[in-house]
Amino acid sequence: MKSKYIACIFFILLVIFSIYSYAETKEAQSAVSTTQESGDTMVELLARLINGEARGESYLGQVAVGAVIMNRVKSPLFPNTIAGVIYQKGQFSSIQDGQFNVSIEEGSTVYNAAQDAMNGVDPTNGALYFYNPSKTKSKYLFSLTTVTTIGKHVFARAE
Amino acid sequence: MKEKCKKIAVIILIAILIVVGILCIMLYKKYRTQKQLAEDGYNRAMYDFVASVNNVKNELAKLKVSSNDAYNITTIASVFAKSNAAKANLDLLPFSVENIKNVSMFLTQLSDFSYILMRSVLNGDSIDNYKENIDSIYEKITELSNVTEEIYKDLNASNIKWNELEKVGEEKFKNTNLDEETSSASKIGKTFTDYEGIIYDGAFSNHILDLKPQYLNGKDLSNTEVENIVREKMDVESIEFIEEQNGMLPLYVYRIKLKNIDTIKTVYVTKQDGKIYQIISNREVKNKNIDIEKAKEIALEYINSLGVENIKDTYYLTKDNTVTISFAAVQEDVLVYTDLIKVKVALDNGEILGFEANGYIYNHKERNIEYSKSVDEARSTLYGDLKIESERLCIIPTDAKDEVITYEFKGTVGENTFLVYINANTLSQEKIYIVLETEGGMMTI
Repeated sequence: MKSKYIACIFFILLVIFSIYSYAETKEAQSAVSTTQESGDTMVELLARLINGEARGESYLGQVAVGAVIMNRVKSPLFPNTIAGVIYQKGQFSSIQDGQFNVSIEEGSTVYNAAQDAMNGVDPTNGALYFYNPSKTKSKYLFSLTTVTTIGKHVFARAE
Repeated sequence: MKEKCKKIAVIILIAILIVVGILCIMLYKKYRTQKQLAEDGYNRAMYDFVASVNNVKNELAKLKVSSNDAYNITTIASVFAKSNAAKANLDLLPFSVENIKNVSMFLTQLSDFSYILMRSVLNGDSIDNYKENIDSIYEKITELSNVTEEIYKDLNASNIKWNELEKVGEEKFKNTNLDEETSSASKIGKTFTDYEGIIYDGAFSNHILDLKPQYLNGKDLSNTEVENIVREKMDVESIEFIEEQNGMLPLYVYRIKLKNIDTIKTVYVTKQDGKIYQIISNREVKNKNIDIEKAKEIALEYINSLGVENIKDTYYLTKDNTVTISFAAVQEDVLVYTDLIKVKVALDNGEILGFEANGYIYNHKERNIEYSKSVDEARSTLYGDLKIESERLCIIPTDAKDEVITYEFKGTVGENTFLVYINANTLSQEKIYIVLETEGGMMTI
């Protein structure tokens, strides 16, 4: 009778672990499949950030997010590369919460928006910051001079 | 029966407890490994950062006593490389952006300064003219070096943890005085950005040479006055004022519906003089009915209709049945690469989807065009095997945020196409680009 119990426990353990390990491999797979090959890695990187931060926004709002990244690359205060700016510690919520890895939907405008931003289009008039006022508590961000508001995002400059 | 239920419940409970326990241990182990990996990365970046700052300090110390120009050049080159390395490593560390601002700015300026200094010394300028600058930079880098070493020692002695670094940065870096007037131009933008592959619109995209827009000379206009200008220049059906934008450049923003066109356009007009600065719109373009040449004509006509003459197309980039064409100003047959306007045209019906005149508005002015060397003289300085396809006079921006008149030679060596720029006064070689013909257009590196 006792051995039956132990067998039972082992069986349940086995089932739970196989579910766990399946979930793990699944997660690893999904992380890989979003990294699709594209002609230009820089456009791809920028498009993914726009997708993570602003896919629900208007086209203007999407270009604006891309423009902030490009303005940072050009600014002496921030890293010199697009990857450097995007992955700078604690700068973009989509990097931290995994939204950056969400795959880009068919027919999405984020690639066009990324390309426009790279070509120098800038609806933010030189902004270096953007934030969603309902989602941030940062005093620093609120202290900045607002340039414009597009959709849910406030675009700002430091004096 | 009740007894059996109870037993099953106990079995399941035990199983769950074991699983939860094991999972906790596994997750904790995983967390520890991940944390260690992250900290290893930080440690390495911190070590490299401290070492680079120290290297810069030592190289500058050498520069202070060295009297040999050939030796100086390699030393300055090392300052350039190490200041870039320091900045790259600083950006990897978990400091908050606000706290490292002055450090980041200082390192960028140091990189710009050393590059320009390198070129000056190579062109025969004596390093003695820069002694004062070097002394002042040396003082600041010494201070920075002390602060970074302090932080690193504290980290090593476990007096502070990586997750406390944000606060430490605030205490230590924020109060470090690093304001440096070595290159005031850095306030406009940095000389070195890793743009590889994205300079589609030609060699000299978006070089802003001055903080004051050269093209604007008149007075600030009211919203109504600017709206009237827009109505004059565009076939407006309805116009809605959105806002006055006080960013880099004071602008009025409008949402405009043009006659016979469905796409709503956001139009940015300069407050001063009322010049069209930027137009943004987007729609899916399914077909391609017109070719690039026709698109160029349409774009040029559009620019002329806004009152800008003497402009020539240079590069273009196609994407999803749209084309973005770059135009540069022309004065006395000299192409002025800094004065750029970009126009995005839909290739189905030729609609103007986008317009951007940042480069033109900031840089355009009447130039004093003077040069002393002929194209033959310039050509004779080129690498012998370069098969020249075209040549022309043009004004290009320099790394020192200045501009210079050059002969541009486009030519090939083997499979590679190059653009070589030879100074039309001194015959020194100013720039070389590699031209890449891609599916979408021409890129330069």
